[in-house]
Amino acid sequence: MSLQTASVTGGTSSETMLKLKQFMSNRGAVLGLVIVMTLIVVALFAPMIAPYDPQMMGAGRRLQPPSFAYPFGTDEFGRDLYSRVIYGSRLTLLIAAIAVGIALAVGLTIGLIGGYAGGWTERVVMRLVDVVFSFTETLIALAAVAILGPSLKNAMIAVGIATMPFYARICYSTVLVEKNKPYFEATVAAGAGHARILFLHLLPNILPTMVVVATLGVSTAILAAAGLSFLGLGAQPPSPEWGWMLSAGRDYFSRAPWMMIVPGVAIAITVLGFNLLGDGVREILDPRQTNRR
Amino acid sequence: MFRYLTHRIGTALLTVWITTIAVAMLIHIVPGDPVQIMYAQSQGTTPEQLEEIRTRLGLNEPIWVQYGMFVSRIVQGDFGQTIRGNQPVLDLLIGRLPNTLLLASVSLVIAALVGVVFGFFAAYKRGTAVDTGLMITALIGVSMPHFWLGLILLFVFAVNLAWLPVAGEDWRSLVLPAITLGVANAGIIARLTRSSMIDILNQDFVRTARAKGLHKGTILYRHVLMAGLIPVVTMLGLQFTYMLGGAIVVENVFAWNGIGRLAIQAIFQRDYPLIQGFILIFACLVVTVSLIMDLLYAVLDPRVRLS
Amino acid sequence: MSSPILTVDNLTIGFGRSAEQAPAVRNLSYYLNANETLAIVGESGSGKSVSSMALLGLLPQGTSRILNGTAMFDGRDLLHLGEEDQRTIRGKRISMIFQEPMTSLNPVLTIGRQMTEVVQAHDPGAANVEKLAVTMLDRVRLPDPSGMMKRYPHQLSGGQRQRVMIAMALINRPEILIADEPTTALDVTVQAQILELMRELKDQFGTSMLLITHDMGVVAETADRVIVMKQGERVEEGTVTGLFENPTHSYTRKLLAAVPKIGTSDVPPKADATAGSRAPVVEAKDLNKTFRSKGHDVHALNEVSFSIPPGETLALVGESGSGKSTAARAILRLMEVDSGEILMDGQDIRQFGTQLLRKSRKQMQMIFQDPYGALDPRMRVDRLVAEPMRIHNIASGRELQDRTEALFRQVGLTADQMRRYPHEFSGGQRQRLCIARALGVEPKLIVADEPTSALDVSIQAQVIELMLDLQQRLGLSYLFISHDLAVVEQMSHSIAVMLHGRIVEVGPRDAVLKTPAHAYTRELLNAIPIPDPQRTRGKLTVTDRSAFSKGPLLPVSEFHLAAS
Repeated sequence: MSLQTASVTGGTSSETMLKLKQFMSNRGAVLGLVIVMTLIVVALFAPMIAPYDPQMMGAGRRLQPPSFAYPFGTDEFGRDLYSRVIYGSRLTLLIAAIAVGIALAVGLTIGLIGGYAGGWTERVVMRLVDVVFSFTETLIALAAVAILGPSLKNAMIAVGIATMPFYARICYSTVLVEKNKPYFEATVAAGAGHARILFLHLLPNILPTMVVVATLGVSTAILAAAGLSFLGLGAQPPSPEWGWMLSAGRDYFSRAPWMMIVPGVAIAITVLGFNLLGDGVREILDPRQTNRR
Repeated sequence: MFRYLTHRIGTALLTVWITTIAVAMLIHIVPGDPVQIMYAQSQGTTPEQLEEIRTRLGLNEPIWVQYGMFVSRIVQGDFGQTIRGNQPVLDLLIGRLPNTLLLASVSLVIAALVGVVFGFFAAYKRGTAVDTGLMITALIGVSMPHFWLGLILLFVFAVNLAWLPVAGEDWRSLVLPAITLGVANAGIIARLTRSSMIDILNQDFVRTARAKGLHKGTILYRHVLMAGLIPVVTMLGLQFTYMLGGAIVVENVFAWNGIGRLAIQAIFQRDYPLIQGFILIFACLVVTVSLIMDLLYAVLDPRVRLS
Repeated sequence: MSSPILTVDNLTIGFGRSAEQAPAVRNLSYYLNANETLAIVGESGSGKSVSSMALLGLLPQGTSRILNGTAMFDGRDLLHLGEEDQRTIRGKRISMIFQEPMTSLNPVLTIGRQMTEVVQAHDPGAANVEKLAVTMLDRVRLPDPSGMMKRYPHQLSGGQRQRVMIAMALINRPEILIADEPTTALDVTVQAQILELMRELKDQFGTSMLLITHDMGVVAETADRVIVMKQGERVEEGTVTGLFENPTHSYTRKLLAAVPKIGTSDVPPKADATAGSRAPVVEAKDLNKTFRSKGHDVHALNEVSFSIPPGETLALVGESGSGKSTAARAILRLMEVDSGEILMDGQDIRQFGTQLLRKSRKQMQMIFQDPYGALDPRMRVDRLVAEPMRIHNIASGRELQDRTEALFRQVGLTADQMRRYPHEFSGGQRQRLCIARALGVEPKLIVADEPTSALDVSIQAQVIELMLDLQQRLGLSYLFISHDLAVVEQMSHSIAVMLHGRIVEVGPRDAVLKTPAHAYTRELLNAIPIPDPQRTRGKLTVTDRSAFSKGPLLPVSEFHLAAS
């Protein structure tokens, strides 16, 4: 048994209902979904939710502790941290979408081609992916930023490139598994051409796996991008990016600990949400995991 | 066995070779004129001087000649001079390397001890409250940015309580960074160990062991742990390379003088020879660790050892 | 017969949330006498394995529950013992062997370690454990028993591993041996040897045996009494002779009728081939294929030649690793051979480029062993059945839909099932879908690779009937790959026997089955379990595989050739 026998997109409505029920009965997954949905709503309606302009400075209210007027306190320029965290969620989601988008698009293409083509193409492509993979995400992201220069845009690209080998390898091994299933041979024996095999058979069968990988990959991307911003290699001031806010806060830790705690908690909760959601999605898409609860 | 080893060594050499190409090309991928960028911050560099540097770095030669020069220098142990301070790159890196290795190794021991014990125990108690509790802990560990965890520890234990030094070179300064890096990775190891052990627990041979009437302890130790440890060992190897990557960030939080801290400085200063040297050293480290792990794997698994 | 040593009463077991409403085993009662072999027979899902695992407390933890019942053994109820009491019985007084010899042994421990630990678990101070283990390995007739102690499972064949399992199960001289499909995963000649060994050791050790199987042939040869199970319930019980001669329950009769018996079926009628041409549909000439595996060459195909006339079936018979599936794939060029010719309409399809090859696949279609895997799980079945017609531009739009519907009816499915997905069909229905899919392009030849071996016997019989019927109506030729001589007898007009990548005997069906000329063919025939308790087989002769003659094929009689 594997992912493919339990389909979500391909199943009937009754089966989809069953999967949905299974998902809803997993409390962690539901919590993850709630966190992620909340985050999306907050990001979409940031101007309506945030009480202040995130960049509005005020000399008279520097380093204010959390209060009714400033729920999360203020920073060294008197900016409202609550509003900054709310606007920061937009950046976090943007980073996640772009970095994961790059990694997924490139990784999927490489994995699909490497796995389907076989022979020399496979060996060369996958060996290169292995080499990149062995360097770990942090180093690749650093190298990419070293080349491109520090900026939020470059950090997103760097994280996308750095996490791509992971997607490529999973896609590749999923293609190999699919290629070994009888239906693949049956399709070739029926006389199908490359396009039909690739797009009508292989792609629909590997997509659920890649959805799981991408959901879990969002967490990695957010952490990696925040790390780059923390080091000063990503978002630049006065951006309300959480990693950068955290880094700025450390100089004031003794006087204003909330400056560092607030963005850190925001990152941790967001990452936790995506991790919980990813685990939940994996559980309903992969029957081998379902019997563990 | 022999084929397995030659294959692994071949892969390792290939990785290093590809890295030398990538590193040599690095300077050409940079948008704009690298020499201009590198020396933009130095005052009063004349165009003649820039041209001289260009010639010295071989940037006026055809690309393959440059690569040839680059490799022949590297093979002789000449990684060039840093742009800031004109120090030999290799000496600088080698000098900092032990600190990074020490940090990563101690962290790995912490992460492995905590992670394997948690993961094994959760798998054994799977489906119970103990399992859920352990896995929630692990998930929170995985979700926390480790630089944040590091900062919190730093301010609580070093600044406020003053139990440990804020920065330094002795073992007491190692405690906090090692715990930071170790705890962050223990979560990952615990999750992987748990799923690996559950895989083993569902194997037919565990059912056989039960049918034979073996003691629970014997089944868990001799059958499950021994078989389940093989993938865990492979995983620890991979984890060590991750620790080396994570060390880059943690070193910056704790001002720990490893190659990671050096690398970030180099990136800010656009010190390309130093960046190149760092990537090469890092590549050699990663390759060596993977090779050791592959060897260990072969020793542990009779299916590889006896093939 | 003495008094029962094991008495099971009202055993009821449920799984998951629906445990109470729909138990997997319902009110099962039986007894087992000393020195007796009791067979529990049933098809997949009958609850036969579950009920025996429950006796030793080996049911999957968490998901399954014993809802009711007792199992009395030596004055104690096995189902309600504490874990430690259960443990002292497992492997010591009641032991068990399983179906999967490849995965039932721990891959990282030596055979010796796994043998001796069974003794030590029950008697920590036991002396001479090593010696006892070697003796046991010798008694299950493993070569070089002391050398075997130091080896690891992956160095042994499937049959050898099952011998180790038997040695392990009997080393403590248990009173009861539970054997769960012990030979199902093995080749027929290996199966015969293992069954013979089990019968022999059971008598020598004075052990009673609970044999769980789906194979009526195995039952007839091994059991004293039989229980037939269907969907969790016992439907019939009796002595083996009584049950085979006089089955009372309709399900038992159905099971027995569905078992292919060799030597009972007529040659299937040949299809009225299209317009007189007797030229072969496909002809393979001197196919060779070598795989490199772990440093040495394996000849998967060695000078393999055969031809299939229109409207006829050629069966390729052999055990695992004989090269029969390689030959099937080679014919369709799903795998490239090293040398040889594959002729269709006088043209060698090995010379075809990609486009011509794809066109040529209209002429020949394939159906596979695993109907669960052969259909893309994410495609609706009407699209799957229509796919080959779409690929080869045979029809489109309304016409395609009509043709698809006609195909569904042709294989015994209905039009209202067309909009479903493969997982909503049973194994037999899926194989029908595969057949419908193959028929759409009106092929001349269908290559069928073990099309019935993944199916229960009753379903197997229906699929064979459908294939024979279609051959008659459509004038199809089949290349039929199978390890099961009884099925081959029902399906084929001629038979080729393969061994180590070579055809060692080929000829008309009756010539090969009734007057086998090659020693290996005779051994294969001799090894088939006969579903008739009255007909016992003589002592098996087991020949070393490499000793069989593998020279060029020489005629024995007209059309009948055997290796010299």
